Amino acid sequence: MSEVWDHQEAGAFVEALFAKHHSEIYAYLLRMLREPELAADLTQDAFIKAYKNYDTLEKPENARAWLYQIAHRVALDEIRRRKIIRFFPWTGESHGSAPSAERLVMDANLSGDMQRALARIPERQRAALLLAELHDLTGVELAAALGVSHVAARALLTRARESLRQALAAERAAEAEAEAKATTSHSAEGHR
Amino acid sequence: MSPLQRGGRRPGHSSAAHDRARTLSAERVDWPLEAADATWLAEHLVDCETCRDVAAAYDTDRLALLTMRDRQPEPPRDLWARTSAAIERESASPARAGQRPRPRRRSIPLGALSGIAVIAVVVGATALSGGFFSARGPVDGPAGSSPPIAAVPTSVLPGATPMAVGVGSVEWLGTSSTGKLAYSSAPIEKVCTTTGQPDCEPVADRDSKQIDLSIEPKSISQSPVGNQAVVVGTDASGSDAVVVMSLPTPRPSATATAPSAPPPTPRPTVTPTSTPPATQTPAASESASALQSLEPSASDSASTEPSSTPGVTPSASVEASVVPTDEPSIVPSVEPSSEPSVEPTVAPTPEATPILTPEPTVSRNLAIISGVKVVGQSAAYSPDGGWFAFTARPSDGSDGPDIYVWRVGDEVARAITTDHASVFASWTDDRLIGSRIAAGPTGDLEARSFFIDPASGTETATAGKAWRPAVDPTGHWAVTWDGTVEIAGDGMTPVPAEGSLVLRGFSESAGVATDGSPAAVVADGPVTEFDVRWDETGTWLAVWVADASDPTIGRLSLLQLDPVSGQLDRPDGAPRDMPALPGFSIADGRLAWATPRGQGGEGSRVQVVAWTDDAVGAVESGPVENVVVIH
Repeated sequence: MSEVWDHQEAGAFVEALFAKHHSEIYAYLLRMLREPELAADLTQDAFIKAYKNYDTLEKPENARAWLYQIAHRVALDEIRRRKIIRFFPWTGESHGSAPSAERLVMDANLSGDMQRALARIPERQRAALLLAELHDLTGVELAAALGVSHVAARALLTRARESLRQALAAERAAEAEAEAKATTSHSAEGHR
Repeated sequence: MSPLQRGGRRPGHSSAAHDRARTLSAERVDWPLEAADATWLAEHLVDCETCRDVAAAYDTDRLALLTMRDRQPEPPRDLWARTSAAIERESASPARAGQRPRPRRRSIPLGALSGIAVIAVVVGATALSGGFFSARGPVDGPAGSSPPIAAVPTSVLPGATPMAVGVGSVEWLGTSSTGKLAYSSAPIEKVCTTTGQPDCEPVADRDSKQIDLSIEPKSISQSPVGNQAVVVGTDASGSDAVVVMSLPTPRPSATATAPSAPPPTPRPTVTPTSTPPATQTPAASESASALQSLEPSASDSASTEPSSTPGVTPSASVEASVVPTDEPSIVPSVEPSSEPSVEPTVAPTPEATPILTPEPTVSRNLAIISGVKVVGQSAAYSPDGGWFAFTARPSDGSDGPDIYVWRVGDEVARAITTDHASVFASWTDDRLIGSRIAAGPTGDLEARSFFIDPASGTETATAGKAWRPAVDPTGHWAVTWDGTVEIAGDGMTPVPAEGSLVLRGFSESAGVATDGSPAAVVADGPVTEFDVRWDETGTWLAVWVADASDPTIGRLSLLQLDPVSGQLDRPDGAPRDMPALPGFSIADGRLAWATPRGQGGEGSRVQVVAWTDDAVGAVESGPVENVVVIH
């Protein structure tokens, strides 16, 4: 086996891959992380990893699923890193951070209760739903992207639907409660 | 076959049937059901309005989700310029020059490996033709023909080749070469299979740090939401104590390989362009056929759980003490002044120095309970990381065990049962499950399980006679002791007697479904102590069963669950009855445990098995003294 790393071949391949898929990879990472700038950075990371791991792609026809697998791992790594950063030590000192203005705008404009509900469910389930429903991955591709067996991918998707149902119900209940409070408050002010 | 699929009862007569209906309703959104399942579901939905609502909600929620397709976000216009520039830098990296991008046997990050001979790799593995999951055998069936991969002797195997897995890190505590306790963290990025070239990289421990701990650790649980950990251990008096500590923050995983030598820099071959080529957007797919027979309602249907059992007033029976910190509250880390020049040893001898020289670190520990004997191996954080639960009894033997909970941020743990006959089993969402023994109608001891709200102490009985159910993260299945329970030799601790460890259906409303036969037998024969933990997907579980004659060691097995049918499989290559110390970690596609001390007297080893859809591989550390894997 040749040990020569063919930069040209890998570079051309990743450039073509970027042209074809960068928009959907960016969309996936944005939906997972809800931070536009972070999603752009992670999209960049994903394509760099694709370049570095070019030789691990056995079949070019599987490139899309392979790319999603890379993007998925990049997203989970970021989420895992955030969990560490967000750790609130028992000393009481807070290391947390408030949501960015970009995220708040995005939540308000692009998502509504669905985006918030998606944010409530476990990230692996969220990924399964997004990849299956919004990114049209087949069952085999979904399993590859998630790095799990076909059976596990199906189970994850099934659980994701139940989690989303519950999360949406909670979002709608919270919304209804807020509206009721607003109505009550408005009514009280009107009587003054 | 699952117990949910057995029996001739009309669908809709048990909570398990409702759970199955929900599962099938969710499944049919994505793919056609088998004829028998479709028929069963249709019959069930006729009689179950709540289930119809849930089924309809799945479909309407899906349609709502699909509307997000209309909001295709636009990536930044300079994304390609940024990406190609980064690739150019990557290609110009000396480490990449003239080499394939996956480095061969690169140096371990030496800054953290000072003074070690360690972490040997090695491996055994199985890259099975046809894939890891192609030759599985049911749990109850005959064992697979392939030998357990982790049983491969510790040496570099001819033909071992690395397999990228990226399954996060494995952490453990062990005694360092200085005799101090040290925390170690090793990212598991590659494991080795037995085919291909001998090209396996050592497990790189990048985060060894000295830990200041006043007890000898026996079990360590890490918070699911941070670097806080709860350590169960023995203090100088011989009693157990439970101590909360902050683990050192691991370094983020590297995204680029550090160059080990400066070969000639190649010319970059990727030229940035200012405008990315046109992008394809996935087309929307249509699939609303299932809606035709269902009401378009998204109403939720949470069932109300009974709460007839009076609440138990918690009372802390053992005073906790705060361990005074000998060190100043903040101690600056001391970084090595120079990089060691020792290359890692790939195949260490048993005499290898056990662990790296640790860096000083900061730790402030809080003893939340002391003067007790911690019972069993089930201690665990709640899924949200807000609580920690365990079982303990007074160390003087004056009383039997009770369940204790500690709310993160509190100064002490408190007993949440007071009958001195209860043990903690597992968490399910924000409630914990306990088990206790009580005299049945015939005077014999019977096992009972119950839910407890850790905040209020409100206890809710469950049906059936399950003992210590370990519930999966989805709340649909539990591994539980199915048999009799007796009092151990200490005269107060209830332990399994006759029976077996089994998989059964579970629901939040009724607990373990103990009617009918279990879905699968997980372990039988003499079981005195066991520890069952699930991965985050609820499709993999590891089961540790203590040795009947020496409970300080046991046997560990990895199983895969089909969550729909309840069938348990032992995929080829998965660890089976591997000798293991108590305490293991399962997550993110990998299982880690500590082996018992070697026959030659060398220390234990941390062993890791990682798997993907296609293959399984393993790595292990060199000998480590007094190792405890953090789970």
